[in-house]
Amino acid sequence: MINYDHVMVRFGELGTKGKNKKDFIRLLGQNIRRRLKEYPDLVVEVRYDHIYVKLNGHEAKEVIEMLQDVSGIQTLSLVYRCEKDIDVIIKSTLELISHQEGHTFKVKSKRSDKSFPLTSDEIVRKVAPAILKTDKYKVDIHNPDILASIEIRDEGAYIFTESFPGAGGYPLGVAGKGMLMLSGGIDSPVAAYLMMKRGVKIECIHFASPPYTNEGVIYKLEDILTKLNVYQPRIRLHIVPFTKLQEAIYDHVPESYCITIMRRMMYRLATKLAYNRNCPVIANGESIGQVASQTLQSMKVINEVTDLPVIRPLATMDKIDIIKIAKKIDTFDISIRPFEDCCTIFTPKRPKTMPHLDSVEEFEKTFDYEALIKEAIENIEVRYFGEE
Amino acid sequence: MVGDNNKVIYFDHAATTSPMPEVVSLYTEVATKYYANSSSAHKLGLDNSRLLNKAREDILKAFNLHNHEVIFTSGATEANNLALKGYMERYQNRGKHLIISNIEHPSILNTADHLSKYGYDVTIVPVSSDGKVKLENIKKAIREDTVLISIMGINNETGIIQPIHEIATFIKQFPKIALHVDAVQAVGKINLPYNDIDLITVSLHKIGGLKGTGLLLKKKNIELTAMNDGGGQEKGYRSGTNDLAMAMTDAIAIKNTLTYIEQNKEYVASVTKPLYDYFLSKKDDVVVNSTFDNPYTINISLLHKKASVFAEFLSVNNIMVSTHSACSSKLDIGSPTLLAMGKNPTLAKNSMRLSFSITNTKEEVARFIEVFEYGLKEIRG
Repeated sequence: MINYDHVMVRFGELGTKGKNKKDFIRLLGQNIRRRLKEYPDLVVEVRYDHIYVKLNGHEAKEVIEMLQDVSGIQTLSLVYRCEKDIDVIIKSTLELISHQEGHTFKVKSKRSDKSFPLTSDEIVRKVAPAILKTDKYKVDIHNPDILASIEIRDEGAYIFTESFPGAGGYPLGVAGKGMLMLSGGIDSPVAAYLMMKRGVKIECIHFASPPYTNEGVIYKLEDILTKLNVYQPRIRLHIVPFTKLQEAIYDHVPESYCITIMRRMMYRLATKLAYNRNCPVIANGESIGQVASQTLQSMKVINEVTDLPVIRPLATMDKIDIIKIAKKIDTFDISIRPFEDCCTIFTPKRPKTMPHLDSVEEFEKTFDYEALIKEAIENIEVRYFGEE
Repeated sequence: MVGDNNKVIYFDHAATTSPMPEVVSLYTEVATKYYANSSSAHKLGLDNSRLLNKAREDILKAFNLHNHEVIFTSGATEANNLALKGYMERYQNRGKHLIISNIEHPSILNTADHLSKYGYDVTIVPVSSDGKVKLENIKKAIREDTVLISIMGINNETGIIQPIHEIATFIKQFPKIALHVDAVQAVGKINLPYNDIDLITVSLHKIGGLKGTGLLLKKKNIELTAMNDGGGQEKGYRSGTNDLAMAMTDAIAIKNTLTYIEQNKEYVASVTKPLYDYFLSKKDDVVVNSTFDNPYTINISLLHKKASVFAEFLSVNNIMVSTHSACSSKLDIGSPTLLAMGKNPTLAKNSMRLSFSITNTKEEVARFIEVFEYGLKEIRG
């Protein structure tokens, strides 16, 4: 039984070069090490073009699964290293492909150790016939089921036949920071995950309105953030006391505009906090047209209060696809627990789908929201999730 | 937080109670020292078996029961299941008709529903607007093939007392019909005619005992089909290794509770009457759904506030109450008992239950009123 030596990590979107590439690789190596922290027997080796994880006897498939959570990785291959002896190479290759499904194959070869007696072509011309001789496979150079790659390097002959897809995206942190509005519903955790996948380290902001919202929502958030720790090992949560603003809006604003103005206050708070925390962007789980506050006109009126870009990863996605991701990252079941983040007292029966900016501005003039916003920012409760 | 209060005020005793200190310490002592299986034939087992039987005797004595036996279960829910399913199945040759009220606990309602799907007939007698079952309606429901009637002693949501004495006396003329009383909320609060009731469900964690234990008190001349088959414990009615420590704490909790029914009731009434009067005085904000003949429970509906928000507000202020109003619109069905009494659905969805024990004090009630007043003024609705 052959035991794989390494997992080979292939990374990067095409076109990453120069200094960017160095940062990319360094961060990716760091993130991979963090993900594999639990298993000190796994050794991460960062090279220029690839990253290797030395398995040291560890179960290969398990490591692949863990690495599939790390963004910035294109593909993962299981690698076997053997002697630079053509017979050993042939024997090893045959054994490796015997564990794989497929009827067609192709052999590829690369040679960086030029002292090896055979050229890449010659290697292929020795290995391929040996495979054909088993009578189990046919050659297909265009679309083979099994691709046997043989690389001759200084330290040995590296053979890899099985590849797995990585998460794609960018390594966490390479893109900078973002302030994500986390509600505890189905959508915002998915938005968080997609930001992380694209390399943005997020901090979360949540608006709590006790007693109109229940403590159960906070427990939901705790559980959701613990799930997201797989993709970002440490997450900071800012809980903003929103009750006074909520009540002020209820007292001063006509029912149909309550949601619009509530969202504008949330955006103002998120913006202030984003500036305080050096986040150049805000993000949230908004989708076009799902609820009244998410029509394009509503978005325009709400967005008006901030000068920061608002990233909405879910903007054009269907609910069914959002739910698919929520299930994949294991936040769906938590999100559907029946604790709502906005009390029905404050949800109007007929919310404005096409709010007018001048009306909104008139209503906002009727109470001193700046003072309430300032008070809310000053009383934020901060919590951390994940590793130290 | 309104004012300054770190102490928890617990007004949710109908949900559960904190265990008596002597119950917890006795459990630890017995579980540690008397760990043998009381079914074992050796000396340790036999000693425990004696203690177990003593616990049974103590319980029967506390209830003043002469012709009953004790079946230890995992709780009132299991006891209710065993009572209904066990009795109906055992005596189906005599008839397959069961009568219950429409305000029973889910462990009765759902068990009856289960039975109705398996070839038994169930008649659900509605309560009147005062929340009580009328004997007339039970009379009307009785048929040739009726074998069991199950009515609770005190309703868990409203605290309203059912006419069990009346019903028990009435059924005496029907030798074929057995009476089961879910006495979970009644034990220790009112005197029931236990000797005239064939099957009685008791819950310990409602009276200062531990959770995970309950009793079905059964007249000796009645048989049941077991729900839990196995080694034959509890005379075959409920197999499973006995928890001696639990049984002994059950006996303590019951003894302590039943000995002081009158004194306890007097004390609790002195604590809750001011609160009851206070609610009656707030006619513009509150409807009182319960009556004071049971001072242990006060059920109110809020006219202008969402009860789930108010309950959360109380919780934030360290006061624990129960409500059927849900924060989530998905769960907002309202109090089943109030709906069954014909109350306005909006009020049924906006009800709060406060339930008390002898551990509560006048000071706690005063603090509650202070916080409640603040909530009435400040919470938006």
